[in-house]
Amino acid sequence: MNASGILGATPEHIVRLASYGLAAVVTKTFTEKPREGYSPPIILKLRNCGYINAVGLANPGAELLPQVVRKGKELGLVTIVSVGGSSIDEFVKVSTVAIDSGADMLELNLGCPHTKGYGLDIGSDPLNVYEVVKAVSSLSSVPVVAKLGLSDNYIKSSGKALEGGARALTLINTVKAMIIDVYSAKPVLSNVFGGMSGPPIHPIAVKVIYDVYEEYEPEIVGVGGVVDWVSAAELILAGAKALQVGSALSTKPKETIDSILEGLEIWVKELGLTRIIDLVGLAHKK
Amino acid sequence: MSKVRFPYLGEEVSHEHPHSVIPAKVYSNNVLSSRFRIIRVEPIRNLMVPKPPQFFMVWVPGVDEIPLSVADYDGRTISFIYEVKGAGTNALSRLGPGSYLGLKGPLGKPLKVVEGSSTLLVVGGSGVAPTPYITKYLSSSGCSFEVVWGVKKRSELFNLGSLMSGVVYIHVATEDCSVGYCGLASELARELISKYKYDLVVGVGPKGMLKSLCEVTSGLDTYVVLETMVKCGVGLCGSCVLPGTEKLLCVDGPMFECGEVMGYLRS
Repeated sequence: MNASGILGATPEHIVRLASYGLAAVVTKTFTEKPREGYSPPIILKLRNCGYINAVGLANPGAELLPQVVRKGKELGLVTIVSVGGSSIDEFVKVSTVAIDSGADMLELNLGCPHTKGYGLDIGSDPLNVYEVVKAVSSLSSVPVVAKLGLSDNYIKSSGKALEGGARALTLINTVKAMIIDVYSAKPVLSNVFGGMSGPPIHPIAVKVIYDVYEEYEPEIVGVGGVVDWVSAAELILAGAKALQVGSALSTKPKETIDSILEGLEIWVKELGLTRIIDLVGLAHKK
Repeated sequence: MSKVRFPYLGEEVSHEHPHSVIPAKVYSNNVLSSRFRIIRVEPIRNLMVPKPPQFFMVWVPGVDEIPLSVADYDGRTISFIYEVKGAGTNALSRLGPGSYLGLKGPLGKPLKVVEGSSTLLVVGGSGVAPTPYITKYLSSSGCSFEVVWGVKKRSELFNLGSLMSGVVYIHVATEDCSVGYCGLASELARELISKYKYDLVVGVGPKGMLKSLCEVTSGLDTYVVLETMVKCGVGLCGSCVLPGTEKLLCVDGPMFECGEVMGYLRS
């Protein structure tokens, strides 16, 4: 599936994501009211091959969410709604719209690092994570996934999300970062700082997924620097059962997804196995 | 399709990734006409060679990042024609020689032409911005071309031909009938198409003009260069999706076949 934030805000975006060959689509994070997001520059590539972004949770608001979900369902895709909120009440309101629209799953954005009052501002406190996940999980039987960012508390936050009723965890969100242009001496992103994604955060994702799997053995959706089958395979071995691709969709998205899937298939055979599920968390085997 | 030769492509040199923001030093920044200005900058590192009608996200430090199509590239410096419309372009107009800005690109897809073919380029409004570079590309690809340039009134005209290399025939159309053809650029294009044969028609300008051009050239190989709000430029944020299609201007465009975007042009 795509990582949340990559397209996914309009029905047209969903049609486009479907053409990339993904098994499931994740919408952009929807908030109760529309958000314009930040002014450009909002995304750029870094010298270390990663990307940095501060989009500011731009989205058309929950009112337009039903048509986005409908498009995903119409195309026969598992449709996951990324839910944002600055309060439990907002998480509940947006989740209710998503559930009523027929979403297959909800992914709670508790990890966005660059929008004041949202994401990591809430998700870095394990108690907040518990409260939000519990409130949304009790709304219906639609599975709830908590997407967490990098904080000192990630193991504790993961535990609290599971305790609150999360059926899975999406690990990890982008990592807080900043870039300054040395000629104009100005920060490049209009928001000054943002979140780093792509290959530089991959080893961090491996470590977080490994730690959380070691502790709780939960269902994990792995994300962070997946650009080819090797980077995908590492997250699987660390404990991820599903994967999301973000930054790598900026270049030849269909070819990227195809080559990851093809590579994983060959990898499974190379190891003498028939099912990829047997490789989930295998790196933990003593 | 025969391989097109293009100047400055001689040797493969390593270049920056088009999604990075590369600092560039302002060389000159001058008034071109009552409506347009032209800025010429020199990137501090090698960029991928732009091909028209590709564009750059031009970062004015601390102010804004603006999508601007390439007006010229000489292997070292790159020029952009722009109109002062908002805070970003206003700040851009105040950058003097020696100032720095940032360039992300080239972005979008290049024009593909067949060597030796003939093109009618129909230009209106801010469509003048990529015109010099499109004609340079056509000319270096051994293609013949003519330009139709439509403006509302005489005072909008300037010496567009001086920005192009070689002999260029420009048919001028004015809506107030003060100079050249009396009427719209698309109407003049229709008259030329009925008299002469062109392998390709390319329109660059406001949405209304492009819609009319697509309608009057129905059945021909017509492409239009579109403009819309672009925020990330790399196909991830989706702000430049063309309503009614799943096309993103920043990666699928900015040039489209009429048939691909007719719904959008009519909206």
